[in-house]
Amino acid sequence: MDSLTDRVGLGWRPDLAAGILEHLDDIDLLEVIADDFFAAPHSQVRALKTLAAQVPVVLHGISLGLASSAPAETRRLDQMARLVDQVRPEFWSEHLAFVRAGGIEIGHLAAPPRNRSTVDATAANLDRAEAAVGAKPLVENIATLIDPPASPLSESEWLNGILAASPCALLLDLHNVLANGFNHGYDPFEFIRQIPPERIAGIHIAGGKFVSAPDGSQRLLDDHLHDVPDPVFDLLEETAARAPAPLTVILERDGDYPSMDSLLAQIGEARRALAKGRARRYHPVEAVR
Amino acid sequence: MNPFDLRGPEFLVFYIFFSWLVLVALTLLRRLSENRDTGKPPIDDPYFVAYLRGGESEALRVASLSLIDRGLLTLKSSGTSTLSPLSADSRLLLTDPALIGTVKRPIEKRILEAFKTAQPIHSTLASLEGCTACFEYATNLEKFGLLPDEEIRRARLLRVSIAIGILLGVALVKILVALSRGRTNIFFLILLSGLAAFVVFRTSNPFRTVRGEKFLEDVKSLFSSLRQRAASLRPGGATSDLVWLASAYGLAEVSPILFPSVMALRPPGPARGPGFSGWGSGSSSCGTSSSCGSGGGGGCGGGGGCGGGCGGCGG
Repeated sequence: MDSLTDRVGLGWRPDLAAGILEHLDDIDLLEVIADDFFAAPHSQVRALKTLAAQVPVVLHGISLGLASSAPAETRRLDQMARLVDQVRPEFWSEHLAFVRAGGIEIGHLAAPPRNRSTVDATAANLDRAEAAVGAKPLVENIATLIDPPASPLSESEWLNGILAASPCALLLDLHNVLANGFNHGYDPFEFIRQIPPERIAGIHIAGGKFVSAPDGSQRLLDDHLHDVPDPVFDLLEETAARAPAPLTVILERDGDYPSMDSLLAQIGEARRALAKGRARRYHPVEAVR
Repeated sequence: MNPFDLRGPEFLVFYIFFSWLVLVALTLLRRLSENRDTGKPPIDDPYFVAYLRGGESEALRVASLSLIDRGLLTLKSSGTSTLSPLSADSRLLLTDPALIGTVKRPIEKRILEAFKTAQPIHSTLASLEGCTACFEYATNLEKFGLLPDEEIRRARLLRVSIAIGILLGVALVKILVALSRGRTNIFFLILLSGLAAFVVFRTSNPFRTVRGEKFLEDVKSLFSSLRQRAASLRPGGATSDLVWLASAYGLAEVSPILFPSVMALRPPGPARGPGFSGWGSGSSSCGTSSSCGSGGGGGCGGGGGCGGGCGGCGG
């Protein structure tokens, strides 16, 4: 493996457009929220294609609800398929969450019960997604403030069950791992060690904040409104030390935007963490750009 | 039915419809011939986009706005107007000569060099038109098929010549038929044919190519949220946002309340885009034979509308 193939990019947000386009030399790729373009006019999709012609783009879905016992909606899968066909991203991804049930849109990424039934249903949905889009998505672990009821499986067992049942790659959200580890009392490093490293292809890094729970305890909220904390970079280093494949790292920021210099500094920090992790596997150290 | 047998008013209606058809055919032919894939134009340079949208002078103005916002240039009021201290006759001055070496884009460097001493804005920027940095933008825009190059310009000229020939030819035949039948009420047809020829002439050579129009629309789409946030931009706070706003949408979108300097940069007189690029040879602004790149001097190829020569453009 060549550490130089690791890439670090940024989530495309229209508010960051100017800063992103002025610093394309420092950004390896962009992750675009696919759902923003499902019902967009042709001109906006064409603009996205123009962007994709300049810089590698990956598409990220948020509304398919693949980790659900209900089949993923054909209409949404078709929308994703059309967009993938038009934009030709390097890959597409979606969350291991459910977002609707019983005809009600939750408007939120919700963690399903972690049991054999949802593992099988998720695998079936991934097959449906592959049939519609032409490629399986990278699947992303989500953050949850509550431990889903009716969950005999641990988070890592459930995730590994899906990876075993469906040959898809993992988009590992490290802040979600950190938040879930803090909120549910497990070691995030141990969680990463329990994941098959060869299945990790993508990484999300982000920041969050601590909030008070009704019982007075603290919870770590994954709000994407804060800078990436140091423990996430430590987790990135650990992941880079374990994963054999090239990694695509995306910095997610959804609001309260800092200066572009600050975002670029976090991208630089991610590159350093990747390099340190790779150096633990291979010698001599190769610099990540 | 022979249209030349139509009575006067009926023929005029026919001629209007016929002219419209010619115009549509001309537009379709232009769309077909100017939409070739000629590579990926860069999307990381706001002045490239500003040039595409508003021509050379617009790129210079946007670059000046960026330099002012970054504190590299400062405005000196002329003092002639107390109501509008930053009026069109204001001057710009480089704040520190050492800063010239800190900018990376050649167009910015040229502007800073031009304002080493306090100079009037518009005449100085006009004198920079055709300089090497601007010429490179023109060359690249043509290379990527966003602005018409010599080949496209020739094709446009050929098509419009044929179209005008057809329009005037049809009118001439009708006039001859009318005269041969002893009718002399041909004034309206002469007027109409002249108008049709003028409209075809004016609309058949737009500043941008079809591909250029699409690319500009794409850039505007990518920055649509920036336009909505224009009122929240602050001087010196996010120059990238400011510059892309001005590049994609124009200086008119920049708030003169938040950025008073923009008043001094806006072109004097009514705002007017480069809708028609003239038929001369060379690039759309300063011609390909411009000698500006190697040390100034006047003379811009044969391009349509090259501002105030190239004095002081230096290498």
